[in-house]
Amino acid sequence: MSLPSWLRGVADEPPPARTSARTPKTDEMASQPRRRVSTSEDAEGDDFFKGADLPGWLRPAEPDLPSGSVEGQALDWLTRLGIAEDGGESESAASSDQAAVPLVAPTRKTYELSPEQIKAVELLGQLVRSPYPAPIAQPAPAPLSRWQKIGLDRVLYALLAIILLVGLIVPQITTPFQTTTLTAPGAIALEQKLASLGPDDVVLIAYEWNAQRSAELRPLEQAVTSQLIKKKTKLILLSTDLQGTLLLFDLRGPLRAAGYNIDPDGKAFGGRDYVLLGYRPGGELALRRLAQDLRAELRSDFEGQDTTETLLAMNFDGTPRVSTISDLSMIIVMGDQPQDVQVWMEQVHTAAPKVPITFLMPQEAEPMAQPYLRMDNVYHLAGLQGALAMNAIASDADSAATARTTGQQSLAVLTFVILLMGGGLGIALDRARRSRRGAE
Amino acid sequence: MSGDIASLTTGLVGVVLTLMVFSRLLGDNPVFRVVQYLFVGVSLGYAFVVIYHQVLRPNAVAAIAALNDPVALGAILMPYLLSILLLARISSRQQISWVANIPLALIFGVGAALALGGALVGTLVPQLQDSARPIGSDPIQAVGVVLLVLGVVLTLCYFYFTVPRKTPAGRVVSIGAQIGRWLLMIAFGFFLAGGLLTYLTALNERLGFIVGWVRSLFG
Repeated sequence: MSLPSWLRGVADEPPPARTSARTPKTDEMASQPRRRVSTSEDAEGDDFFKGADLPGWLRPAEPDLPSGSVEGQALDWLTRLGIAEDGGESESAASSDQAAVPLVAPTRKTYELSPEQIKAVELLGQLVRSPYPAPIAQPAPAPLSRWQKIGLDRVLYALLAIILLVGLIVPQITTPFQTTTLTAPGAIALEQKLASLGPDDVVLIAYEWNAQRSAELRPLEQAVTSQLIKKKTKLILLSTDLQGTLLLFDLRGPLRAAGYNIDPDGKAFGGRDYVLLGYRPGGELALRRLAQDLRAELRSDFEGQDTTETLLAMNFDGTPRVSTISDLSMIIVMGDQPQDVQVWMEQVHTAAPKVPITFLMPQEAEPMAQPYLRMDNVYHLAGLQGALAMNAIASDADSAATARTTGQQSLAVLTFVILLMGGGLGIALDRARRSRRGAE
Repeated sequence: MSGDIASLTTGLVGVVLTLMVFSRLLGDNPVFRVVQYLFVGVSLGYAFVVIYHQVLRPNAVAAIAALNDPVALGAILMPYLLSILLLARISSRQQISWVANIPLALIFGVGAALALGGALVGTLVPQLQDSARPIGSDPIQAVGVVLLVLGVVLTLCYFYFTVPRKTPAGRVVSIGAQIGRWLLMIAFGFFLAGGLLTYLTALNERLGFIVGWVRSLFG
């Protein structure tokens, strides 16, 4: 054991006799001569250097004291430890006093283990031998009945699909729900705004939706772009969404068919009526760039061509028609998430608050985007209902098709509500039946 | 005639894929898995094509054109250098993975600055202004404005946890929180109704597509 030098303060004293193996009795201990242990009371000046490892000539001479006292014996073990550390240094000196100092061994208590302790020891031994319990085979689950395997929810889904299919095949059953007088919040205001646009106006259209929302966004897109195409309004098309870019390219067909960017003699005239910028990477950052410098975005369309000198971006007199985002007549955003509305409002509308901005979105996103839709210069149209209402206002709708669609939509909602209530009732009855069985 | 055949063929693919998606009604099955993986694969492939044609290739052409202009070339190549640093995370060597922190810090810093600035100017301030509208002379509008303010306060009470509920003020907040909770439930009901309409419309559209294709088979 490595003891500090101060703890080995009595190392220079003779070690106890190692040959004595027996434990001395109390009367013997009393008769043995007491060994001196220096204390602070003895000599303050000497004790200051006592623990220091001083050379022999500097060490103070200590008078021999009887070592038979209890105090002296109590420190014998300490003395021995110190000697053991010193090794052979004081071995020769110790050997001379071995006979004089007896070994004091502490008496050991004998313990008896209680039955609980024995059990615990056995358990520990068992855990050491096999630390993991033997796997207990789970009882086999009770076989499900055919009804349980199918499940009530699947039956209800299947019923919904079947009823909707029947409604589509036999539209006459939806006649009670059909209507051609449709209203949608924001439809009238948007139609008036679109009607005020002309061929010299430039509208930015952003496709920020995914194909999974095409059931609602496609009719909305057609309802709004058909109005713009009819007026020959100039368009800038872009998307910050990858799938939206694909859907954006689909618009080129109707634009070509309407004579956009095509001369009367059939030749292509790029950049006259619309510019397709395509995908703009960066999400929010791309929108920020767009809001800060629209002309920089026009420097490269989806084919990498500069469109800043086209007839869309320049007037006939050579002055720029579109320099900043504030020069646009309207911004139309087709988004499928409330976040699309938020990002466009935060990054673009704040840069040009006087430019009207229109959001086309699914019904799902409308309630969450509502706080933005109440602001000034913000227009919106949501869901299939909004698209049908827009078509009805624009008086270019096929009223029979509109009636069929509204009837089918109403049938779907009604069926869903009835099935939901029926399913809830069925589950409640089943629980009541089970609890009754349990009580019996 | 060939146009009809092409239309019928593409329609058939659409119908088959739609039916494969509907097979989920029978539970999780390999057919549904196949179509799921197909959509993921097609989406990723398409994303790569768009990024190649709209981002990578134009920038490569611009870099080649700017070979004689070191400043312009550096400006074009800098984003690519930063994106290469991100690859350090792929390596299992921890000694170099810190290098990816540089572009990541730039992305998060710019993103946070954009979001914070936009949220303050575009969301927080306008919505606060909209919540405190002038009452006006129309009584119905006045009732609407008062209800709006009350609704906002009561809903905020539901998220106010720092007042002890046993104090008089705490009891008032507690009652307000209960009403605010119901207002939240009503708002969630509107969200659910909107979602329901969206999904029923999608279901109708898909079923209508199948019926339309089958009808087109028989002229």
